[in-house]
Parts: sequence; structure tokens; C-alpha cells
Amino acid sequence: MVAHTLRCSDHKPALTVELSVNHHRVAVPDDYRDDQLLWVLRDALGLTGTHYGCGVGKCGACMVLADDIPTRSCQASAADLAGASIVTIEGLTAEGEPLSLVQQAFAENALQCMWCLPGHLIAARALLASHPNPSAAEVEESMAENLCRCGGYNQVRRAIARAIELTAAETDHDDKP
Amino acid sequence: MTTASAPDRRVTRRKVIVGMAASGALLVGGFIGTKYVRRRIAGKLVEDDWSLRGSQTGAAKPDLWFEVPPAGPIVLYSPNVEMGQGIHTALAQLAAEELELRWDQIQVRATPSVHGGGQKPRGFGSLSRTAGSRSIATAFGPLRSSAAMLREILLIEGARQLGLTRTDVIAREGAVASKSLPSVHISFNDVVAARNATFSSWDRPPTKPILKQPTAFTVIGHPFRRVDADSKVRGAAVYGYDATLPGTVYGSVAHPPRYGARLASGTAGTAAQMPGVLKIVIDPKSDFAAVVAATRTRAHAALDALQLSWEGGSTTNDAEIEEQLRRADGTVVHETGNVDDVFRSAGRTVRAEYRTPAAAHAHLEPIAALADVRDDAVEVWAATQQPDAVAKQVSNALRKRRPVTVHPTYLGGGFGRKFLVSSAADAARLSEAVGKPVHVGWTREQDMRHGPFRPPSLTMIAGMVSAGGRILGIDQHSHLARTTPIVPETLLDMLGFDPTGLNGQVLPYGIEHYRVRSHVGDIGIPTGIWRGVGLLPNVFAVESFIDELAHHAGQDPLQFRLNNLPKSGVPGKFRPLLETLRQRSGWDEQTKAGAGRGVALSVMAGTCVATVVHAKVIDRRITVEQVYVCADPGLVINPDGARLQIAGAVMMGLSSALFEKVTFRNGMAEQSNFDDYPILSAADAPPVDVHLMGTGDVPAGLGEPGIGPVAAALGNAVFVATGRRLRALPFDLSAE
Repeated sequence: MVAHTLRCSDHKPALTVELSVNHHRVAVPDDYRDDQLLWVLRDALGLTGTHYGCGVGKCGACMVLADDIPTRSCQASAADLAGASIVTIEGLTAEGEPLSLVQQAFAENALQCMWCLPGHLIAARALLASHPNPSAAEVEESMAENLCRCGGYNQVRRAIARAIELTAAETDHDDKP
Repeated sequence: MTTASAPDRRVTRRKVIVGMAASGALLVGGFIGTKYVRRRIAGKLVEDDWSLRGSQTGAAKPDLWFEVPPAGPIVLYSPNVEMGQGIHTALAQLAAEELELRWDQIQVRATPSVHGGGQKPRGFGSLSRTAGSRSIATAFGPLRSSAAMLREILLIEGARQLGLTRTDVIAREGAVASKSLPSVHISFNDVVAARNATFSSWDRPPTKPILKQPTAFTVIGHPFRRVDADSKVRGAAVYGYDATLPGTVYGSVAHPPRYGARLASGTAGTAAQMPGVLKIVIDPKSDFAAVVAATRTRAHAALDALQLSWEGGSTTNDAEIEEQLRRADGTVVHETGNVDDVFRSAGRTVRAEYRTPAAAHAHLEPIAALADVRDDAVEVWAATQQPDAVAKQVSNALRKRRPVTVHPTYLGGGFGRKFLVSSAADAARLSEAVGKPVHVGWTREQDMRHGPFRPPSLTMIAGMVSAGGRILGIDQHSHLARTTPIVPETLLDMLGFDPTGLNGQVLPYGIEHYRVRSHVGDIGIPTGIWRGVGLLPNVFAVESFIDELAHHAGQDPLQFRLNNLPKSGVPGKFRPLLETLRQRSGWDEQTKAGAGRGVALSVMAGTCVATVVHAKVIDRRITVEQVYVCADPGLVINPDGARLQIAGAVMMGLSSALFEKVTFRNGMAEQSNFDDYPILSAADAPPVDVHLMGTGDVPAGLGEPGIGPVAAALGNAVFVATGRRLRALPFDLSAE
């Protein structure tokens, strides 16, 4: 399997929609101009780690960060997000680099089929970025919009608890002279 | 199911079905049609399922299962697809145990199935079917035997390369090492790299390799990190919907507006002029209409613009389903004592009816496949639970015969829905038409509307219980919609019952006078295998009824079950489970007002499961506070994975009990997405305490059994909390 390479802009400049995806500037191919961001990411840019589950904003599998805010990529067109910095699951860590702490926590506490995982990872990442030590209620709120048909909700709770622990350990480490 | 050496009790339901269908079904049809024979077959199926265990032995075929590359981890080829059940991890543990590998020295790949074009079929064949909670039990003997054989031939060859003999060396961390001088060793990779041959030509040990004893296990029975976790947290794993090749275009395939409707005629309408459209196929002969376009969105839009005329098909409305089920003929599948005499005698008869609706699988990844049909060969990537069948299906769908290779992808949930998929054959047909790789990915709406759904059920039970709390007799009619085309119609007609509907139908208690009639309903909607098939509908009914009998007798429901369970055999295994559950769940503690505890149990695929649910009801709203499960799945390979399977089944069962119902109007489902078909979310997901009490040294099944008791246990808890007996799913306390 070969992923599509990121396509560079070869369109008329005036008509081109450009996005920032995982810190790269990419042009949206003409065929995808009217598509939701989800399909631009998956089919045009080959970033298939962001998943389709419902297309109506109910399951959360398609979540990405848009300017650090968890956003359902099935509910926003590429044009809507032209100025935003978009980070997908693939952008949580660079290829070949060690896993980020949130990814590490979810790898240790793996869900079952993990099709919903991109949404849970993105939501957990956003939660911990704004609340490094969230309350139980804040954790529940961050999980509320992401469905897991395999029923791994307690595993998500464990993964988030582990991510909090790892984040605290890293902060301690950084604080040392 | 493979090996000739497998003992009889590993005969599975599917083997019986396939065997019977193949061996002159019509000739024996009249014979099977007798009541006695039908009951014997049903009894054998139930007994085999209850006592299912893996085999200790199996054919050693190292070349089929393993590849040892010149460098890097040993590759284990999995016969089964990974759909969230953790099978790749569990199989890797079986292999690592016998091969003495570190966890980073093994990787798992899904095994492609090859079929057609005059080629010898390759892959695991029917062993590649992932269903019925049977993967571990089926692989246990053959995989361990193959791993042990590989270890031995690597030791023989490695010793030779080191200038030693077999008795001088041991296997240690992926290497052949001298027993007396640990610094003398050669890695398995290097042993293989020095010989350019397949294992079948290597020297084999004179006797069968000895498998490790359970007391020596260091990998089996311990938690290990999921082998697919890292690629999945990076978003790099390829599921069926993710499969892509350079130049991939997208197919959208028409579904009939009513189940079973035929495509009478069709024209392209405005679709031909729409942007991005590459090909329109309208073929009434095969009821097939589809569009290929440069993007998915354009393919779906053009499909909507086709002018298609459909005729016939289902006219089923929801209100008719119960009557259709009630009318279905029955076959006695279980009979002890003389039920009619008992009910003629004096004593009060308790009667009840239970209903469960159709349910969608709602796997989060909709049906999807990619096909690349080239002149000389075909490659398919498909989310399927049986890649061998998909390879045959694709081969048959093409105008020109070529070898077909099906690469099973990861599945974003399966639950039985991905056992039969049409997406791969459809994608192949379209790829042949456009000469490019074509991906067909269903929309959520297509996926949810077109089933096949969990078969709706209607169970009517009458029972009598003595003043002392002994169950005197039960007369049970279990009506379930049929699961065709999983089970062929001719076989259903011969048997008079649906083998996959039997799960959970027969109660495991020692009931002196007990008769179960199985009725197979034809309701005009596609119903099929859904996690456990009959398990959840049947157990909801029979274990709610047992609770009713317990309350009728004025006994504690848990104690009532203990009193009526046999002391030995498979049902005897429930006794320690219930005793432990009583302790762990605080069963005997006082409940608060508005709260209640309920218990239920069931057995499937050799695994006994007992479940207690703590629930409370406030303003007619049910909240599940905590679930406790004790289970005996035989030998546990990965305790974390096993607990996750059971906890997940509990959540799916709660979702069914609280929310899920597909309704039908004019031969079509009325629900189509998560906005009108809600499933359990985190807000309603309680803590689940799973306690494994595995007995014996071979494994049973874990994918489905955990879903059996959940709905009944919750209903029984709600009865304690409110005094209201809920006899239909999903529970609705607002109805009077």
C-alpha cells in the first residue's frame, strides 16, 4: 500500500484553497473544493488516520485539532478552515519519532478495534493541553462526544488517567535543573 | 476448522452445517426431518457449544504460520482478522511462548487468501473465518504445534551451524544458544539466512516436539501490549475504509429501496454530465447499479441522480413482525421428562412473553473494500471476517478469470456484520470496468439501513415452581427470525430450527420436565449474525423468566439459581461463579430505595458467564451504577484482553437493553444514523468489574459470551428497584 503523496499546488492561484495540515501547507485539489475536511484529509491527502463513522457529527471518529480546538472534520469544509492550523492523529508525533505521551497512554491501554481512537486521542490531547490535571468531571466532559461501539469507555478513562500521570512525570522532570 | 487430529468435540456448528449441506442434503433430508433426529442434532449442537475447548494437538505446519526474515521480528501469519478482539496479540503470545521470543521479536500479519485463475488456493481457507468466538480455540493446538516444530528444527539446524548437537542447545530470546556456554549463540534470523530454503525441507526432530507445560508458561496467561496498538495510535494502521493505491477512484453502489427489490430498469439521468463521473453501470440482470467518480462525494451525488426503477421486495411494517414471528412453525430442540403431564397437574403456572427488536451492528467503520483488477491478477483489500469467501466471490464477479488475492485489513468493528460483505466484489466489478483501483466505502446510512440485523424475537414461557423453590417444569417457545443467508434455506427447512439462533436458548438448570420449541420466523427483513446471534434475545427471555420464578417462590434470585443448578457438568461451573459474584458484588448487602441488583447467567462457546447489575431508577430513568462479571473461559491467554472483551460485551448488551431498536416501514429500516439510532455513550457507561475464573489448560471462546446475561440482569435489577417487570427491549419505563 502506498499512501498518496501530499499534492503540491498546481492550480490557478486565485482559486486554490490552501490548508495548514500537520504544519505543512497543502493545496486542496479542485475535485475536493466542496468536500468536507474529512474527505480532503483522507482521500486527497492520504491522511487516513482520521476516520469516518457517521458524517453527521455524532460519533467523533473524525476529530482533528483546528487551532488546538477539537473539531469534527465531517462538519467543516476545507474552505471554512482555510486559515486554521489543522493537526490530525498523524501529526501528534512525527514519523519515526517516539510516541507522544497521550499516544503512549492509549497504546498501553489499547481500546478494542480502535476505529474511534483518533477522536479519543484528539479529545484527550486537547483536554490535557488546557487542563494538565483535569477533574473527573472534566475528563467525562471531554469524552462525552466520542462513541466507542466496542464499549471501551473505561479503557479510555484509564488511558486518560495514565496520560495525566505521564504528563505530570514529564513536568517534574522538566522542572529539575 | 482444520486438523484431522482434532477430537470430536471440536466439531463446530459450522462444520455440521457445511458437512450436512455438502453431503447430499436432499437424500438425508427426509431422515433429518424426523422429530427425534432433529432433537438429537440440536442437542449435539448445544452440547458441543457448551463444552467447546481448544485442542492440545494439531498439525505442525511451520511454513503456513511463520516467516523468519534475515533480520527483524519473526512474522506470524494470522488466520484470523483483527477486529478489536485482540486475536493478533493472543496468537502472538501462543507463538512467543513456544518459540522463546521476546515480545519485540514477533510481529503479526493478516494472511492473504488466494483463489481462482487456475492457481492452487493459498492461505488458511475456511480456517480464516473469524466468527463464533472460536479463533483461539481453533488455533490453539495447530499454532502451538507449529511453533514448537519450528523451534525444534531451528534448534537442530542452529546446533549444526554452531558445531554442536541438538542436545547441547536451547532456545532463548529468539536465538539458539549453547546450554553450557551462554555466549555461544546464533539468532534464529542468522540460522535461516545461512540456508536458503523453506522449513519443509529441513531436518525434523525424530519425535513430535514436546509442548511447554502450563506451569512453565511465562507469556500465556500474562498481559502483553497489543501488537496493533502502536500503528493505531499513530494513525498508520490500514482498515478497510483506509485502503488506497495510487490512482484510486471511488465507487458508489445503489441499494434497493425495499429489501429484496429487483432493479427493473434504469437510466443515467443527469449523472453522466456531473463533474468527476468516470463510469455509470446499470445492469438489471444482476440488480446492480453504480457510479465510479474521482471522489466519493461526487460518486454518491451521481448515484443519487440515477433514475432507477425497482420492483417487488419486502413490504414489512414493524407492527406485522410480531405476528409473523408468532405464526412460525416450531421444532422441539430440547426435551426432558414429560412437560405436558406436569402442566396438567395441580399447581400455579407462571406465564410470560418477552420481546426483543431488530438491532443494527453499528460497527463504527462502515463496510468497505478496495479492488485493483489488472489484466493478469486481482488484488483486494477488504474489511471482512472471511477473506477466503471474499476471494471466491470476487473471482465469480469478474468477466475474466484471474487469480484473486484478498488482503484482510484491520476491521473497525465486526460483530458478525463483516462475515458476509458485497463491497469487495462490487469494487472489483467496477475496477474491471474502469481499469483503475476502485474503493467502495458505504455511507453510514447505507450501512445501518441494509442490515442484516439481529433477529427479532418473541419468547413465550410457562413454568411451575415448587413451594420449596425447585423448578418443576418449563414449557418454552422461542421464536426468532431466521439468519439466512448465513444458514441456507434448504438446511433450515430440513432441521426445522436455526442452528445459529440456538445460542442461549436452552437453560442450563437441572429441570426435570423441560421442553424448548424453536420457531424460525420469516419476517421479510434481512436478519443475520449479530454478536452471539440468538444469545442476547434468548438469554434476556429465559433468565428474566427464571427471575420471575424465583420471586414467585419467594426466594433470593441468586440462591434460587444455585439451588436449581446441577452440581456437575458444564452447568456445575456456574456454582463457583455465582458464589464469587455474591461476594464481589455485595449481593447480600441492603439496597437503597430506588436501587436494585439483578443477576443472570449464560453459556456460549464453552464459556460460562454470570453477571450482576446494580441499577437505580429515578423519575423512570434507569441508571446502571456498576456491573460485576465472573466468567470461566478456560485457559486465559491474555487477561487484559479477556477482560476487555467481556467488558465490551457488557457495554454492547447495556446499549441493547437501554437504547437500540430498528423499526421498519414498507420493507425498509426507518433508522439510518446515530442521530436516530443512539448507542451507549460514555455518559451511560458504568464501571465493570470482570473476574476471570478460568479452569483447565485449554481455552474456550470470549468474543460473544459476555453479552448473554447483561440485559436480563439489568431487567432483573429494575424489577427489584421498581417492582416493574420489563419484558421487552429496549427498556421503557415511561410506557404503562
